[in-house]
Amino acid sequence: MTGDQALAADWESEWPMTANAAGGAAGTSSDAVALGPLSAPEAADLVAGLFRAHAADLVRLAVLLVGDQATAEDVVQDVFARLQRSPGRLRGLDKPVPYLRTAVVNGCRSVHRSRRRARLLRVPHEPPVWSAEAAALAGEDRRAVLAAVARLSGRQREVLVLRYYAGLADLDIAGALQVSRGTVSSTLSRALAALARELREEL
Amino acid sequence: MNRIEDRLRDAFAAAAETVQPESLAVLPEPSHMTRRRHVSALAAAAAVAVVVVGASVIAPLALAGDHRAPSALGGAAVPSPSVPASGASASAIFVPFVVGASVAQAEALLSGAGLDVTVQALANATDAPGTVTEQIPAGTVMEQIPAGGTLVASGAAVTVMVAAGSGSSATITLAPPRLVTMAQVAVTIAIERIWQPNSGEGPGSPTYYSGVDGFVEASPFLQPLGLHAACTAIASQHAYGSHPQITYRSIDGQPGCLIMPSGDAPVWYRLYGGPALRDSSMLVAYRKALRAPAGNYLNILQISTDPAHLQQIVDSVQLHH
Repeated sequence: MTGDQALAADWESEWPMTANAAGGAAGTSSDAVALGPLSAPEAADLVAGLFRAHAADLVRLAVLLVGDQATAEDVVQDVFARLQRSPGRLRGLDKPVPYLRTAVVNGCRSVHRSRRRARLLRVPHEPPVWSAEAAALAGEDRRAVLAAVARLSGRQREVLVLRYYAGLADLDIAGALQVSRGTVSSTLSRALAALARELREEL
Repeated sequence: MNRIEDRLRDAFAAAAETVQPESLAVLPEPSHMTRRRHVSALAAAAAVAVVVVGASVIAPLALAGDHRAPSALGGAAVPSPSVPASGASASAIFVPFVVGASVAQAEALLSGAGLDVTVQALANATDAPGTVTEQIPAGTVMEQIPAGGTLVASGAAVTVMVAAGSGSSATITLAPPRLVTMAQVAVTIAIERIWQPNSGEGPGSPTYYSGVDGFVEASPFLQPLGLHAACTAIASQHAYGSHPQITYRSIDGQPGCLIMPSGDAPVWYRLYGGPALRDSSMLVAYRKALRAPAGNYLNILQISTDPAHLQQIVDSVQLHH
């Protein structure tokens, strides 16, 4: 086991969410989970269904936050493994998608934290998809934009991804990041300004 | 709309496209995932526990109708039944967790799951030395028998012990903490008498206990760089906030550390409300590396608990290895 594995592992209490905090208008009605009394096998089926329906999208979201698919898959897997272990987390949530999204964003934050530690311990991770090294992404301009986004603060990066990739409204971004709506709009404008400076472009 | 927003949309969409659905197919199904990579051996063992009930085979947490499940199971350890085969009932269910719920919630959950509920007032411990008196909201479920997560036949009897009292709060008197041995991780600790094991972690002794006022979870892992690296790594996790406090001290004669969360640390998600709990932890180096069921070795034992119970648990730790 590498140090990084031990380090990135414990998110046990990183879910300070309530159903309200995780709410938001983004889930479709077909995602609604009516959780009455639920036996464990039923809960496992439910979690498996959510995984099949949403894992790919969540990995895409996580790739934009952490840079590489292997790490993104780890983050998403961990989210589902936690859900599976405690399906009670789903109880009272009528919209699991915003909840999953918040969990993935939190998981990605932990990755950034553990990477700071991993750097000290010299644990390598995959190069980001936008690096020339990874050669996964065509287009120099795209790579430049994503590299500039990666240099922003974590919160700014999250807001940009949720707005310009996930297409969420301010209110939903506020729900996903558990901050106020005002914080979202101020973070968004600061992030765009910082990005324009990085890319030497007028807003 | 401006140019930089367009460039962002284009770049994000292109980067997201690099995630190929084919490569996602190799993601394990959730039933075979492990929450923590450093306890993967234990969790993998949990995933292969196969229970035979009557004529039907139920693999807990495995996916019904998933053709990939059997082969995925086949690669792991030898299945070890964690629950004895029971009568001829065709339907087996897991007992819901209701400790901490109100008696009304508990009755709705348990009878909704097809179980036969009996409510009993919690008997007060009056004569044992070291008893503790606490105020608890009246009607709170303090214990359940069998524990949540136990596999039982549909229609089985479940008894819930409720804090009874007139008005909104009940005075309960509890016997002193009890010692529990977590054989799997080679440790004995003192926990609150009313805490219940969570049997969801697979065969072997439970490594997770919780109650209305706290929880404890023991998880060993390998940190080749030693205790100090483990302590700083764990303390820098989000769970402990931006300024966790690390105290190095000897625990049962072995090098150890205590990690207390700072004020901005997140609180535990509580299914039924109740007091908000943060994580705190103690780490201790095993005397010699512990061999996990999968054959790998683990050198550090982490015990996570709520801050109010950390000292009691640290003082009671006895390592068996």
